[in-house]
Amino acid sequence: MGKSSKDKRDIFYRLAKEQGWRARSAFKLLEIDDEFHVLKGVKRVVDLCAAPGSWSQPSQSPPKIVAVDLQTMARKFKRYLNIGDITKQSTVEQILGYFEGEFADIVVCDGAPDVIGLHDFDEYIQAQLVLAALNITTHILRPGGTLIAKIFRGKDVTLLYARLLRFFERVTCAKPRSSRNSSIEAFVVCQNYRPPKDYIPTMTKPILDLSYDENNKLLGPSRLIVPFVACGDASGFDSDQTYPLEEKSLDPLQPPIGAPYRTAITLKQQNYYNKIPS
Amino acid sequence: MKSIQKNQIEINKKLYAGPVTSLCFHNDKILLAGQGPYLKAFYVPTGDLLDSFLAFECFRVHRIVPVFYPNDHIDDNDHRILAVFGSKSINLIELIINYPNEGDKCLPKCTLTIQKCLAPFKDWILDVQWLYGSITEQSDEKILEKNYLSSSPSSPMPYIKKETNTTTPKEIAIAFAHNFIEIWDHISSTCLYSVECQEHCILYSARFFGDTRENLILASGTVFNQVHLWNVMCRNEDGYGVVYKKLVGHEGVIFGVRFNEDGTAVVSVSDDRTIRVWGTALDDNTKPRVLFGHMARIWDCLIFDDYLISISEATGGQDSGIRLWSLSSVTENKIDSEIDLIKVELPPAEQYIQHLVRNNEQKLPHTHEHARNCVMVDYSTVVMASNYGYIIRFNYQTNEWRTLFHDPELASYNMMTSSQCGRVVCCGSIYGQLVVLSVTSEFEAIKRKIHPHKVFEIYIEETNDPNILYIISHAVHNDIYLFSLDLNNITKPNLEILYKISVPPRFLLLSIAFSARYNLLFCGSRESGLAIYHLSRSSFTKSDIDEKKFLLSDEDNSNVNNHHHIDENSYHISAILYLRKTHGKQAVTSIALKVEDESTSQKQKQQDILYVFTTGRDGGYIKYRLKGLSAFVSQPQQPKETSERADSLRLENNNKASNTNEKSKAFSASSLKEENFEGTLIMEQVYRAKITKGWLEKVVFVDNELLLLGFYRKRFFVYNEVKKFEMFSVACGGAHRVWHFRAADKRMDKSTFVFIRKEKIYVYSRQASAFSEGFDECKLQNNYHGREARALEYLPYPIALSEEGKGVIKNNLMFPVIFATGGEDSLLRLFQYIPGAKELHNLCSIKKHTSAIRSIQWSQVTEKMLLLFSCGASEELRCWKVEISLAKSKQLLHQQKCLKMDSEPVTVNCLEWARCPTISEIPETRIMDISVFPICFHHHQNTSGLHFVAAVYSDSVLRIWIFDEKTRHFYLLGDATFHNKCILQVRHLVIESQQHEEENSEYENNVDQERRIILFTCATDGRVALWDKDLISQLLQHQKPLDQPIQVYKVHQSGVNCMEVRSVGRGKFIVITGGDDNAVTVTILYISSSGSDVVVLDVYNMLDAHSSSIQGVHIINDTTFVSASLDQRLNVWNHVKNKISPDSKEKDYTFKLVASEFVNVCDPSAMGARQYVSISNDEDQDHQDDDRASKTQIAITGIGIELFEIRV
Repeated sequence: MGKSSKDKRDIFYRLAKEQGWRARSAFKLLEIDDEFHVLKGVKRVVDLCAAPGSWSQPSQSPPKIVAVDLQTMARKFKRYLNIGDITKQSTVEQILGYFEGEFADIVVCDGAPDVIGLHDFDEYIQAQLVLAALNITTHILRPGGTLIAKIFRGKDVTLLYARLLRFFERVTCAKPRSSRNSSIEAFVVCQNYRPPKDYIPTMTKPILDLSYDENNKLLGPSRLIVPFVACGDASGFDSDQTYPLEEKSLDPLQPPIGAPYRTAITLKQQNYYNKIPS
Repeated sequence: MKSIQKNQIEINKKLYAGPVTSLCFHNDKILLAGQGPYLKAFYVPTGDLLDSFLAFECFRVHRIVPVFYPNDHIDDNDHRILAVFGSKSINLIELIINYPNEGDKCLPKCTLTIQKCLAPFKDWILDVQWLYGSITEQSDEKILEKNYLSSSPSSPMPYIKKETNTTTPKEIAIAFAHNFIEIWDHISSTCLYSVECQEHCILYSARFFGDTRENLILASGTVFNQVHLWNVMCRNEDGYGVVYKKLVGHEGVIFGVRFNEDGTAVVSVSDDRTIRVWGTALDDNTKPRVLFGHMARIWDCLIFDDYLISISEATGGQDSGIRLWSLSSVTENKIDSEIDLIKVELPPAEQYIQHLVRNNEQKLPHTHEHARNCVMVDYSTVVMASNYGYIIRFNYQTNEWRTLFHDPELASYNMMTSSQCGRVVCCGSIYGQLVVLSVTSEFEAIKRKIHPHKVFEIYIEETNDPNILYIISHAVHNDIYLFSLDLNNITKPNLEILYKISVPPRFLLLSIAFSARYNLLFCGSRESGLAIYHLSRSSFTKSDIDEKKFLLSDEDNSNVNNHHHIDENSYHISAILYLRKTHGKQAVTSIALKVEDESTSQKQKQQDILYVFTTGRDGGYIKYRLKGLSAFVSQPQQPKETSERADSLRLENNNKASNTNEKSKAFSASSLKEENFEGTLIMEQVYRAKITKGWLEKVVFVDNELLLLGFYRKRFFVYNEVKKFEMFSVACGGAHRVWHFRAADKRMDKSTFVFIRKEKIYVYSRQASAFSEGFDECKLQNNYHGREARALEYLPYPIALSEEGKGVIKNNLMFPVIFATGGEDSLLRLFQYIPGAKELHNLCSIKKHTSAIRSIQWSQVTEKMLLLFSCGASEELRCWKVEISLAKSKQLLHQQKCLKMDSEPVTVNCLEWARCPTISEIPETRIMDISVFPICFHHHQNTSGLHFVAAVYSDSVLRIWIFDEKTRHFYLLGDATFHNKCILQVRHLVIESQQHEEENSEYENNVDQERRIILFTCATDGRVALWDKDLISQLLQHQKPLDQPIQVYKVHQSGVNCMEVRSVGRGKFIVITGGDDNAVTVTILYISSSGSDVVVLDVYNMLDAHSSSIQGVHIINDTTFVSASLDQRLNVWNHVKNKISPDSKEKDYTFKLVASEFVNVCDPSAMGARQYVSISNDEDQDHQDDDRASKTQIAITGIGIELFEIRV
């Protein structure tokens, strides 16, 4: 409808098509890697909520990648493992079986749930996705490994930081330059996995949120805020800037994944809604 | 009103407005609403807010679950416990209502108190249910219960209402988002029972059914597109709750699920745009009913017996978001069920011929006989014209029909119109004849030959006399006559020609409206013109008629050349005012008039104002204000000559705002001074909005509410412009040549829509049904922006009150708290805060921007002209003229109260004034921010009325405009590309050279003795750039390119989202910036008065100022500032001395967080501030000892708005 200020045109959207990435989010992982070198020398990668597969693409050099998602990816990779649910024990077993008993070096999760417009609930659901990713990560990540996950920097993000800091030595909030300045989205880069001593991974109990406490208060100076790092080339393209149009528009490498409303759209195209009752 | 006190800094929450997240009727008079953290009680009969209660500190109220309560239970002292939950907390709140004695007119008294806090739970709460003890006490139920438990899970238990039990139960069941249930004893705050569902997954929605442990079931709406029904007490061998029925079929996430009253059906709504109704019984294997119709995500759906009410995301116009469905009539193809369609067919020809006794030689119409035209005369009666020239009246409720007239000359072509009163129908023939018929056969049909060629259209307008109608007939070659039809002698009505109307060139008449009060006729054309005529000959003396032979003789119709005779003698009139291109180039389809109500006319008591509304095929409507009408009031005794007046008329046309380069549209500002000038008709366009991508075809007022009728795609719709929603929409196949609509009331309880499609007449009719009668709608609360607000700016100027006819009176100033807001909904809105009020006072709401508004600025050179600038996406930069006035009665009461907030509500007019041309090469360019400065240099007379507008664009360009309020044009002064990134903010600072010399002799002296403007820009590159604008020389020399910035420094890692600048004297300036990187930075700069020397003296970094992007900063004084962030915290910072040893590397001073408050506005995007000195008699009685305390009102807006008061 053209009513949104987050305008359709985004330079990274076009660059992704030009450079053959499945989605513009591929740049985000590349930029995080520029800063943290998390992909250097890794042998086993797990990409959670992987569709359309753009985060598996930059990690293609290591020998083994597992991409996990409920949605199908149109074109699968050679080392692509399966479709699955990150809350299932069977998924854990499949991944570990694929790695022949070894643990993953890095787990990435660029997933975002369906939003309902109630901000507090949307932020909660995003946090639960990160916690679900954390839960499966505790089964499959080697000590010292890395977890990268998308977060919303909303009102209770410090509760999420507090939870992650129980499992990782270092947690950083990273904002790639290809992620829009106006977006609430950011990424947590959790390094040096070291679970609490008495922790036993289990898929039957979800990891739930923490509450505010003395070390992490609701208000005031005693809040648990992790360091912020802006990633990517400061002199490069800007996802908020408007650039002149290219002559022709390129076809996307990866068509959009099936929308839940495709039946409704099909009916609309068949003039179902405007038929005169007879 | 919570406050945190530290170092004598105090934050008070003053007001909140935002999304209403829950609703619950206590009884049919009291409605409870959850709005943000507040629980509100409204008295429905009057719409009054009884109480607003802070239920949570930092959660929204997501649902209100009251203890069961018999419907007939209304005591004088009504009390009830509510379980109110939001996020991970439940508060038990006691509601006490004291009703006034009968006959007593005061409102009920409502008290809300927190009884118990159950918080925080470990997970997000989706539903709560009170449990009313075990039903096993009843013997016959006991057997049932045992069977139920021993057998595998089956259909739910019947719902048993407790007839007398009004005491509060002690157990509540809680459903959590991770699909588990806990039962709590709220008295001892202990968990009694806990069960997790066998399906481990996240839920988007859940609802309980049942009211005891034993019959309690949960419907879980999962993230995996399914609805699961499971029994709370039934576990499998692993201890998990067993799902006894899976409802599978949705193609998206389940956003909402509800049971019907007896639990036999579940309705679910989803991301897939469908509503599905499922049977809950285990053995019910029938397919669910799937309801398509919403074109956006559906959030919730209520089910009552056979009816569903669904709510979906409003998509702007075409889907209003709320629908009523009747299950019994929902079939595969019939989706609009709330109205009934009647297809009207002509009766057999033999029957309708019988009515005409006088002509027996009529040939029986047999082939190609069909309805050719039809008009509506009342809600159940149409008059139709057949292809063979029969005029037939038909009542589709009684199925009665009657032939009124027949004429072969009306065959195959017949233009028909009915009068509003329904007494008269006029027909125009292909031969130029006019036929006037009585619908109830009160008089014999009148037939006249008027035009040489066929009649295009006929209009009937009402006059001051109900028995006199004006008929306007329009034929080929712009042959237009205005007749008077006098029905005073009903058996022999009198039809006479009053005028021949001459239209401007290229003007095909399409729409007409007549103001009997002012004798003004308004005509709209297919070519988008609007012409106004003055019918000066409002009455005719007998001699006039005799002399000019206006009276038509009955025999005239035989004379073919008779029209020449009419032409010579009729009274020619020409337009006194003509506007072109009013709706772009599209047709003006309808005109409506509205005289300003005397009681609401607060500004000019004596001056008449007529509002003219037009609709167009551009999908928009325009509101004009017509002033200077006093000379036009009907005065039958003194007929006036139009020719003289026409010369003195002036056209004030502000149309075609989109084409700013066209000079003809310039609107002389000085004309406003002369608004009282006798005989000058002034027409101003005051509002214009596009409503649809289709056509707007009609504008009508029903019960004082503005309804806009149009066609979009293949549907006819009725849009309520006052309440901004689509009231009615029917699939009719598209825009029709023949259609009529009538509504008796603003709710359209009684309304009819008639159209002809493929030679058939269709009637959609709504007649007030029994249960909707007696219900009166009541507006309980005004809304705030429906989507994210992105800009907010307080009016920084006091308002000068003007007394009637005397202009501005000096020193009679008032200080209302007014702010302008804009955002993603593209609405520009003005609000007033009345101290102590719980609600904002809505002043105006303007839909003119086509996309999101990002920044708003006020500017005023003189008290006569208050301007507002708004900018945003699609490179829109608009200027508005704002008129603020106080009701006259209030003016007398008003006393000067300097620097205090005024509590009288004002009225506001916001006129569209100008639009800045678009000049970037990319249509998607956004104007991210503007900074506006009124230029009023004493020694430059020619600069008065000029405004300096610095605008930063998303294409990385800073553009500087000068706006001239006289010519209403923007002139580009210069531009500069810098940052090479999207520029986010711009601020200006005025440096007084004079002041510098006096205060500061140690720095260089400035000979220039002029004000300089320093501009500050910041961008997504984390840098701040300073620009020196030698304004006057720029103006005089028309210097186009800007120089490079005089200083650039990096303050943040990424985007600099907000910036404030303040002079602290002696050439020193504080720049405070807030970044996307969680940091707030204070930079101290020295700027020499020549602007050539800029030195960064000091930088203070607060790296972890917030846990998210900073969205607003405001400097309260030289040592205190506030910051607001997406993390929904408002922080107050103070410059304090560090307690460290002198040899430490740390600075002597630092900024410390001294106060903090939670912000209940989600996605906070903009912050505004207004500082004032409080004078004792404020509402805070406890601060009387410190009545000179400096206060700052802070407004934070995003999804909603919250006002804070900070005392320093």
